[in-house]
Amino acid sequence: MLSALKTSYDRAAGAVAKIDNRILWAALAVVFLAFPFGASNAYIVRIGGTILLYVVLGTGLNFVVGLAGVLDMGYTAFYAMGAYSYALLASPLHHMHVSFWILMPFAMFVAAFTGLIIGAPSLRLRGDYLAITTMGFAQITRLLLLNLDKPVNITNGPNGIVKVDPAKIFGYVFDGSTAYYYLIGFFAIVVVAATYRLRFSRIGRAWGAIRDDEVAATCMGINPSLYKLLAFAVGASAAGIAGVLFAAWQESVFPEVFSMNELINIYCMIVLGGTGNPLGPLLGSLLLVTLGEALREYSIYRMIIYSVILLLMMRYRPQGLLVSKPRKSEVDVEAVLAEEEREKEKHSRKLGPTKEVLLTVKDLTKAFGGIKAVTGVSFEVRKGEILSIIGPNGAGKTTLFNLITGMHRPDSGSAIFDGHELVGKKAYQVVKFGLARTFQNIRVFPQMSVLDNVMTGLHPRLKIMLGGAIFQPPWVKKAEAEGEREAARHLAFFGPGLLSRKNDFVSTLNYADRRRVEVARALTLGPKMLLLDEPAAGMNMGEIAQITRHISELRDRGYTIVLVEHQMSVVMNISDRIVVMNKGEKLAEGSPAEIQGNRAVVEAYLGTKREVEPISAWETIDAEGKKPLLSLKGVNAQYGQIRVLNDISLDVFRGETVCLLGANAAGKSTTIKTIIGNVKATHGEIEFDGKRIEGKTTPEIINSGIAIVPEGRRIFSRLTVEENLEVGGFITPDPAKIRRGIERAYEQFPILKERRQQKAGTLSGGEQQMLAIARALMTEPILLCLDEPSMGLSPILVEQVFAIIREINKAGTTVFMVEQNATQALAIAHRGYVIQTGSIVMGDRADKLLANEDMKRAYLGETSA
Amino acid sequence: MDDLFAQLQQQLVNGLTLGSVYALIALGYSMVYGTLEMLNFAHGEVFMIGAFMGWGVLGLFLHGTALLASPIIVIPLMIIIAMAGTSALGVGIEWFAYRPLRNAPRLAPLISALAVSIFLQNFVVLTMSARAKVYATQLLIPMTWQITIGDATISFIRILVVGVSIVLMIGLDYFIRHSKMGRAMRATAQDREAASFMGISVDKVISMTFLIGSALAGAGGVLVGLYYTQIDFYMGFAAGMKAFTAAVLGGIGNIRGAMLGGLLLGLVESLGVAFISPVYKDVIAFSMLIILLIFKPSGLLGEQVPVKV
Repeated sequence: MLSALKTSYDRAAGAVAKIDNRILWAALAVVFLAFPFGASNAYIVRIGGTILLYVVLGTGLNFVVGLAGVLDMGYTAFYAMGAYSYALLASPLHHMHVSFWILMPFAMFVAAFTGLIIGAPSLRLRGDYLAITTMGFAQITRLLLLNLDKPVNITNGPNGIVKVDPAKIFGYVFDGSTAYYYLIGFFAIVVVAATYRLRFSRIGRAWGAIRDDEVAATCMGINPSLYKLLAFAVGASAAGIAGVLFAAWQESVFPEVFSMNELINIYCMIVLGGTGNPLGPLLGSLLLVTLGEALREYSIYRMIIYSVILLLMMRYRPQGLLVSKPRKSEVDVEAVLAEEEREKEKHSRKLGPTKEVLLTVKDLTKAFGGIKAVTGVSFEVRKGEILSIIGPNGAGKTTLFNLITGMHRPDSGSAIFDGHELVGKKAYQVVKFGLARTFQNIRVFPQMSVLDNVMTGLHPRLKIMLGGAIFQPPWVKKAEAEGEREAARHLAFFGPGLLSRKNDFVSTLNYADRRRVEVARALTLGPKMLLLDEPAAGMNMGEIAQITRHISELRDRGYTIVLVEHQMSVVMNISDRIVVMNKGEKLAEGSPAEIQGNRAVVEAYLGTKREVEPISAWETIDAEGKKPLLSLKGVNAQYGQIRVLNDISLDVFRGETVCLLGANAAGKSTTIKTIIGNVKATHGEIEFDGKRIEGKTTPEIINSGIAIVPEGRRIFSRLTVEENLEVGGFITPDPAKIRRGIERAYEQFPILKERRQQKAGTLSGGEQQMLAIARALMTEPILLCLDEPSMGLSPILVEQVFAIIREINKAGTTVFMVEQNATQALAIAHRGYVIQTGSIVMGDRADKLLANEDMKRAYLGETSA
Repeated sequence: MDDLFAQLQQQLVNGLTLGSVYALIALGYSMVYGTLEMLNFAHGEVFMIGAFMGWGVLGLFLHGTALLASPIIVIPLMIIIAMAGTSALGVGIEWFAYRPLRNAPRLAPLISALAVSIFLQNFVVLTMSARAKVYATQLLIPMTWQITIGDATISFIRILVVGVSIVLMIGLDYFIRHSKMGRAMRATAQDREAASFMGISVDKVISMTFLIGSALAGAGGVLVGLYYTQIDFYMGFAAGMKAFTAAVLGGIGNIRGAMLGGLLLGLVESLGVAFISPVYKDVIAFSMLIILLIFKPSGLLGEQVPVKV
């Protein structure tokens, strides 16, 4: 039934969408103007007035909730501020009768000003804290209105203020519902028009950016607190308007009007109508006020129905009845493409690296809770070059980016860019010096069009504020149009295909295109330097080749580029210089050729060669004719749209140690996560111990005899060591068996026994790794999966950990291990597989793999000049 | 001066009683926030429903003004049945209104929680009418049962409220710290994914969190009903906000913090009522919440959790 309803709704919505906008507007205008004449009595006109009043209220709330994404639960307090501002100063209570037209802007100001006072300290808080703070504020306001009739009578307490003056204009006294219908209608039109204007202005883009992704918004030069505050104040002033209209129309105000129920009422309207559409509040108020009137005799059911509507909407259609539509840009595509062509011509004579230093990073250091992420890193970036920063997982590359761009404040050190000290600056300030960045995990603004995403980059340069955005004088229109053309040109840099998608929601683009939009958005900031954080991550081979070409073309156009990238084919082909990081420190610096030949670098990636017991000395596992314990056949997996595993097939036989090797982001961890059901296989079969497990939940798979030591250890840091072990034995029902497991763990790892009552978070990295292994062994698993057990450990500890793994295997547990440290992992393994961009490229006996020269290439890539 | 001192003693007793109930309700907020990082707006209503359930059970044992069974049977039955009912309600709310939205934007579960809260309030109005209900506490515990310590009189009902709250809180603390499920709950609150790697069913743990939190709120509802002798459909709103204040005061997500926060808030409020003005009782509590959130959002016993970029 529900799906039939949905299809018919979608069909109806489609039909509505086809109607020309002008016809819709004309129809709305006619209905609005003619309504009081068509209405059979004053009661119906009153309902019309009520609907329009809620349009003002709903639209005002939608500035905050829908446009800026802030949950404002104090909105009715601003409504009350407006109403009481008018009632106090235009009623017999204090013998004052100030004009409606003076009090209207005054009330807006009072409401907005209170909004600023409440907002300024609380907008720093997270969403739900903000909700509760504003809710508390609304309650305080209501209680004050109720109780400020003594000792001095200010508000007249629960009796409210009566005989409030009606609105007057040029001697005409507004009287009766029809007059107020038009008066309120006028303000409703003003508020809705302001939404239309603001939504796609510089202000609206800033709000949308904050709503969709606050971190990325900050990197577009937007100060989130400031713009949230602005939304808060704008919304509050709309509530102020509604308050004045209410007081003048009703000629009375009471504290109970501004109750929690009223807030729910307004929320229900905008959620039902759709928070992303300017007409959402209109539709919501139309439906709910009419419904309320229809249910007048059953008013007791009204709130129940509202709450059910909210619940069902959140569950089945959180975007509301009217969906948000992306902006239709009219930019001249041909002209933009031609301009881009000229730009390309202009730079056919390539600019390249110079000697001039643009960025000097000196001794940057940052620790997170005792763990050193970056230690004393220094390097220089020269104007016009591509400098790549590479290094194994957890080397501190992204942290370094975050330190330079003001996302984190370093503990010490400095970064001087083009004469400006960056340390101590906020991310939105750093942008203004000419530094733009992209993100490792794409951060576009999903609810904005492709072109509007790119246009957020104009934010620091356009100087359009609230007045300009609402009234749109010629200079604003001109500046916006120029900015739009420039943004479009940056999209055109990636070809006419991407430009042709300019009016689509960015969320409809594929992964590679979203990455390109992020680069175009960074270019629109007009930067001198681009910091690209893994621009090729998740791309296929063809797309990687393309992005490589694009990056080098950007250098040819004069941009200085700092690149963090795992795809060695990209790094080795286009870098002028490379900085290698390992464990938070700079390991090496030089040209691609120098880096590829650097022994320390090769060791950082592949691990150190050391004397090991030869593999032949092991009891070799006779797999002949046996069924594997674990087997993957043609397994695919993806994160969202990104395919991470491509037809992975591998076998692990009982008693073996098998390792899966490969560079960062090749799909190693995903393989383990897919085995244990944390990532769902979209295709293929996984069989363990004779049973298919690919559709099972993680707890079911753990119960079937697999245990995991996750990447980064993931111990429960606030639990004691012993409690960690106990949790590890969660699936074991027998307490005595858990006890025995703990004793066994203490025997194997005496250090854990010493620290049994200590919080696990206080352990050193090596101890934590031992705890993670001991925890996994608590269930006496048949198969132990280890995800990067050597990551972040010092060489001596790495050796220890591998020795432990070997012992575990000798004691009879089958081991499947994912490792970056190929040399040492293979030394204790029977067999190994190599994975590259989601596909298994090699699989062999461990000793043979060790001797294979292709291994190195799989990690460090090769220069194909 | 003596008068003031007597007043102070009496208000300390009041504050302790009030505070122990706030603490009971605060625990539910804190536990849910600890695991889901979500504000369960509907928690105050669960408390209210508990009060109504206790009232209903009491009604079964009343015949006119005669009590049909001994208070020693009736009071525990009221509390236990209310706890059972509210725990089922809490689990149901999570399953219907929050679980489908677990990966939705933050706004969605908040609005959903708000909707549940409005639904429950009005459901009670619809089925029980909006008029306040009276707990026949004097039939269970005569008002004359009281002891005097110094200048403060402590009625037996107060001792009951504080006593039951403390027993429940100690029970919870022991459960969280020493039982297998309690450890699993703490592990899940810290790292949901890693907990699932240990074979812990995260959904079950979350249901358990709602079950326990709601049961405590249900007990709190009965205690408040017995203590104030009047309940209405709207009592959950203010109590919920104050319990949330208590949870934040102690450090949200921290079980012992919620207990400490509840007691502190109860004391501050009682002293405020005595020395400022009773009409501003709620203003004092809400102002405290706002000031606290602005200046020390991590609370007294809370830990600062860094935001990951």
